[in-house]
This record gives sequence, C-alpha cells and structure tokens, in this order.
Amino acid sequence: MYLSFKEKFEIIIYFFLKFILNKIFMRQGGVLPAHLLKILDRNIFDDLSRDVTSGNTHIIIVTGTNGKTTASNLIAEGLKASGETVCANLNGANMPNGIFGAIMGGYGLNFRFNSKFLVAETDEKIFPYIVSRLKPEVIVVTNLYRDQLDRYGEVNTTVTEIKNAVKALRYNPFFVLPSYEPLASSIGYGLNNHALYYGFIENASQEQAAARPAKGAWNSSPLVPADAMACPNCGNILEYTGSAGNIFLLKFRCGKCGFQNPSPRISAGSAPGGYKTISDGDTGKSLSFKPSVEGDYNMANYLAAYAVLSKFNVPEAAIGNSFENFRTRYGRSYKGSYRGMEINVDLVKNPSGFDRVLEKIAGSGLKSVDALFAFSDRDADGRDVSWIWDVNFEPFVKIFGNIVITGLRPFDMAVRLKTAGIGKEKITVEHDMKKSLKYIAGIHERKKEERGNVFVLSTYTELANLRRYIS
Amino acid sequence: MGKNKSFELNAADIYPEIMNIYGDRGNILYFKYRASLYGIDVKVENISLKGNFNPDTTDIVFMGGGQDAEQVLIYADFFLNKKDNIRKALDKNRIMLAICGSYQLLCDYYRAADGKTMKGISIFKGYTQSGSPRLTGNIAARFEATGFTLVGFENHGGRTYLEKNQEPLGTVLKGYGNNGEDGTEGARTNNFFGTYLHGSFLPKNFSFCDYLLDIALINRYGVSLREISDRNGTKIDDALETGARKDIEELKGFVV
Repeated sequence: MYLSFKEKFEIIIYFFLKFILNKIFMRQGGVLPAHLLKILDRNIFDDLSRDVTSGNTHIIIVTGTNGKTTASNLIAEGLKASGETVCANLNGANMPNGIFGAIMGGYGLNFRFNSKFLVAETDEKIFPYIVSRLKPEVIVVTNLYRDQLDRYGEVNTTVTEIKNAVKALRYNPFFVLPSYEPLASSIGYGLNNHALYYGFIENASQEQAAARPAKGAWNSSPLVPADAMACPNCGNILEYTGSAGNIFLLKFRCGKCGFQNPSPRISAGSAPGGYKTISDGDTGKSLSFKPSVEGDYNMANYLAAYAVLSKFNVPEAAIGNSFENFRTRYGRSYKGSYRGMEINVDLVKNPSGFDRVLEKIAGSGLKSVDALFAFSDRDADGRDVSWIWDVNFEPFVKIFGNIVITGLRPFDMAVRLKTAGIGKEKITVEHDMKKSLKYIAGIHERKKEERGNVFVLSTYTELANLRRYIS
Repeated sequence: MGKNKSFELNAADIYPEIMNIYGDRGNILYFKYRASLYGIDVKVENISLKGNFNPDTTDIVFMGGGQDAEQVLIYADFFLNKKDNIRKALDKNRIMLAICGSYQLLCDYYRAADGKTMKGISIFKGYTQSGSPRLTGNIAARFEATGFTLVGFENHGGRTYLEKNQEPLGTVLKGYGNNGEDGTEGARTNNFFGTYLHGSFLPKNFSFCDYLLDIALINRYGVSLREISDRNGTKIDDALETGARKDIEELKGFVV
C-alpha cells in the first residue's frame, strides 16, 4: 500500500522539522516532530500503522517494567549485525510520539518504509493501543513489577490490560517471556500463542548469591522478591520456593489452578573467565560470550534478545559479536567520566530495579563505594517518593563509603538511608547537581584506600541533567 | 526506676508481604529506628495469613495498603483470625496505624463501583465509596491533637465519608484527604489511627512517630517519652526529616 499525497507531504515535514530541531536547536530525536504532525493530522499514526503493517516488515514489540530499552537495543543491534535493516525507537522514547516518530524516520525518499524489521519499545500503559495498531509478530515482556503507582496504577491491572490486548488480536503473536517472573510469565498462560520462555539455571546468577552473604538480612525483611502475591490467573495465593531472595531463580506455583513457572527453553549459565553462556534447550545450541553490560538483570536482557534473534535465525556469530560490542548509548546504565574519574551511572526508577543495581554494586567487590544519588519526583520519575522504602537497602549498608544526594527530593533519600543504618556523617545533601558532583569527586580523590569507580544512581529526569556534566 | 532500665516495645506487622503498597513498610522501619535513638528496643513480629498476635503483649499494630487482588487474599482471614484481637487491642488502649486499604477495612464498609459492598470491622464509623478519578498527590493535614502538620502522598480511588461523631485524624490543609469534599483526613478512635497518607507516613511525620512512642511507653511502663529522653539526655537531630518535609514543592507554605 502506498501513502497518500498528504501523508507523503507529512513525512517531508517530519524530516524538515527534525532537521531544523537538530541543526538549529541541537535537539535529537523525533518525538517533537511526531507530536506536531499529530496535531496537524490526527489520523497520521493510524495511516502509518496501516502502511507499515501492509508490507513485509517483521514487527517486534518490547514492553515490561524494567529492561525494555536495553532489550530493544540488543535486539536491534543483533539484527543489524546480521545485515538486516532495522527501524527502532532506541532512545527510550516509548510513548506513541516516540514510536511513530521513529517509524516516520524509517521512510526513504521513495516514501516507502525501508526497514525489514521494526523494533518498538513500548510503555506498558500504551501497549494495548500500540499492539492494536502495529499488530506485532513478536511480543517481548521483560518483567512486570510495581512501578510508579501514581502513573501506572496497580501492576495487576497492567497485566490484565496487556493480556486482553493480545486476546483482542485476530491472530496469535509469538511471545518471549521470563520463566521466573510470575506476572510477565502469566501473559502466555492459558493462551494458544507460541511462547518462548527464558531464565537462569542454578548457580548461574552468582552475583545475587555474592550480594547476600547474610541470610538473616533477607529473612528479617518481609519483602518477597516478587510483586505477585495473588496468582495472576485465579487470584488464589501464590506459593514461592527456590533460592531465597534470588528473583532470577524464583519458583512459584498456585495450589488452586496449577499456574506455575514454566521451565525455560533459553537459559543462562556461567563459564570461567567472565564468560556467560546462553543455551537453547530444544536445539542444543549454545552461545558463549563476554557480556559488555554487567548484572544479572542485564543477563536477562541478553536472554530475551537471544530468544528473539534466534527466532529470526540470526547466526550465532552475529549475535555473539553484537552482544560483546554492545554499548548502552542512551544512558540508562553506562560508564562515563567526570574530571578524569570513571563514573558508573545507573537509572533507578522502582524498588525492583533499585535492588538489582545495589546487587550489582555489591558484586563489584569494592569495600567502600562512593556514590551520588540523584533523586527527584517530577512526573516522569513518579510523584510519589514512598517507593524508596520498598528498596532493600538494609543488606547493603556496609558497602557504602560516602554518599552525596542531589535532586529535588534528596532529604527523603537521606532519611531512608539513615533509617537503613548508614551513618548520618556519611551522608551529604546538596540540591545543586553541579556542586554535588564536585563534592563527591573531591571526597573520592582524597580517599586513601582502594577507590574504584564512583557510582551514580539516578531517577529518570536527572539522567538528562547528569549528561551535562558526565561525558 | 533505675537509669539503665532498658525499654522494650512489641510491634505486630499484619500481612507484611501482602498489605504493603508503596512503602508502607517504611512505617515499621522508621518506628523501630526512631525508638532506637531513644534507647528503646522494638521487636517486630510478622503476622501473616493464619497467624495471630497477642493483644496483651503487643504495643502497636501496623497494617498497610494493598492492591485490590491482594486485599481479596486477606479478607476472609482478617475476619476469621485478626478481627477479635484487633478489637481487644483497641479496648486495651493499644495503638494501631492503618494505611489506605486497611484504614478502609477498619471502617463500616466499602462499596465498589459495581455496588457490591465489603464489610469492614467498624472501628471507625464511616464508609468508603469507590470513585474515579483517583485522588492523587502530596497532601498536608493538621493533626488536631497536637497541631502538628502531617504530610504525605495520597493515592486512593475510594472516598471515605465519616459519621458526624467520628473523630477524623486531621483537617486537610492541601490535597484531598478522606473524600476531597469535607476537609477531613483519616480517622481516630482511641489509639487507633487510620490514614490515606503514604510517604512513608512516619518518617515524614517524625513528631507523630514520637506521639505514638509516647502512648506506647505510657501504656506499657507508665513513663512518658519526654521523661525517658530527659533521663537519658537524648538529643535527636531531625534535620534530614525536616528537610524531607520542606522539599515537597506543592506543600511549600504549609510545612514549617
């Protein structure tokens, strides 16, 4: 199907606006042009959807609470490494304007959508809308945890909405789902869709084991490492077994309806020398590689990407290469530098994600970690800061050296850390980000013992501010 | 009483793994932390399904909010195993802090959007009507007993309407409170407190936390928090807590 004259004209406007923004206002991305065009023509997203879905483009949608930007980027890079053309909203702009902005950018001078693959990272809340328009061939749900309750509402509602959106389709898309997380896993339960589950085998996720030497620390916390207390299928209570405290090895079962963790076909294992393996239980294929992004939660992203790439028969060598050379370009977890000092930056936006980052830091083996927390409560961060009380700081108190806290709500974080048992004298509050960075860098430079990197843990809106200082 | 007498309090956390939405566990963490600054040791007992607490030995009962699916999980157990002891605790002047969903459960009933009602245990006289949109945002309310300004974050679909003779917890200064209409927030009966405030509530309202500690100590030991802190020469630096209250942009002018 070809676009109408009007729509072709709109695509020209899109490129024109993007060019202007880029060259004159030095702004990247297609969100604003897409937004402006939507005002000009409110049918434009529907028309583009019809055009893209009428061709031979493979459409992959990635949603979930945590990891969707990284998983989407891994999928796109893997496809590109095998020589495919890919259109994707790789910068984390996962609302309709971001997705359709990327799609408009995928058109060529012939006004045809040029890419063989479309990878659309999609916010959970707009998933039903996007799925109804883009009719994806593959759906990846990375995980579903509680996230910014004031924006998203209850996570159980999100699960129901995602499932209903899939049921409303007239065909059965292919699922890629985690075996260890009950809510995302339940998306495939009871449906006729093909579902590929991924997960970890025992001993593969050593980081969590290392991060929690004190068993008592976990036991004293009433938090169960999952956000599903009720069975997502029938509402009865869900029983958990498996390694205590390790969310990646979680086993769950509902005594009433029988819903339980499926055994993963794609599984992660460890090999000596920092290598990781990903094995396909059905084909017997196995990939060994050195991950470029650390942490079990990133390994989960590798698994999801591997599952998608192997479905499209991307050769192992291309997958391995792209995985080893992968760099997070859009800064949710990256290494940067500030005044010649190496800085690890991680986005923290909900309890589950925060816990994973703390485990990663503990896994670094440093004895005294200097950290900057950038903590704010703008809309995109979630207006309610209560969630930091669900972060399990208590087992990690000892790993921190000095902590400086900046952002709009630094004192809330300071009270949380103090309550967890981090000495008041180790905590400094500085609302001004520039000063806060200078301050933590100063402390770090003067440090006599083993220094390591400075870790920066930032909520969403502060990431952009950090970019002004950390290169 | 000797100078070195150590004080101990017992807290019960009801359904900690189920009824904990957005940081309500912070209330227990902070209560225990703050008590420790005064030299008071708080033992926390986790009481889940089937379990129970002893209203004679328990000084304070905590219960948080939950998602709808989770509240269904505890409903039958709450009536079967918890209700009687909660009533006994009320009569023995014990303390309970119930947030959001469990506050609603302590009222007369909850009426859902489809008209179905769920009975409560009528510690607070009033009912909750489900509604939309959700009442969400930062809130400040005056705690009438001491004049202290309570702050927190509310996020509830239900609108709670108290009977005229039911004492509210506070008067709304900014935000919605019980229903967004009548200017009341939360409820109080004897030493039971219900509120919609997350934040978490106690860390944001350290003076209220002291108020609860004081009640618990007088109940258990016949000695006030003031006496204990004077005796021990306790000086607490609340600079971080005060900063957290002042950082809330929408509540500027309401919080000192």
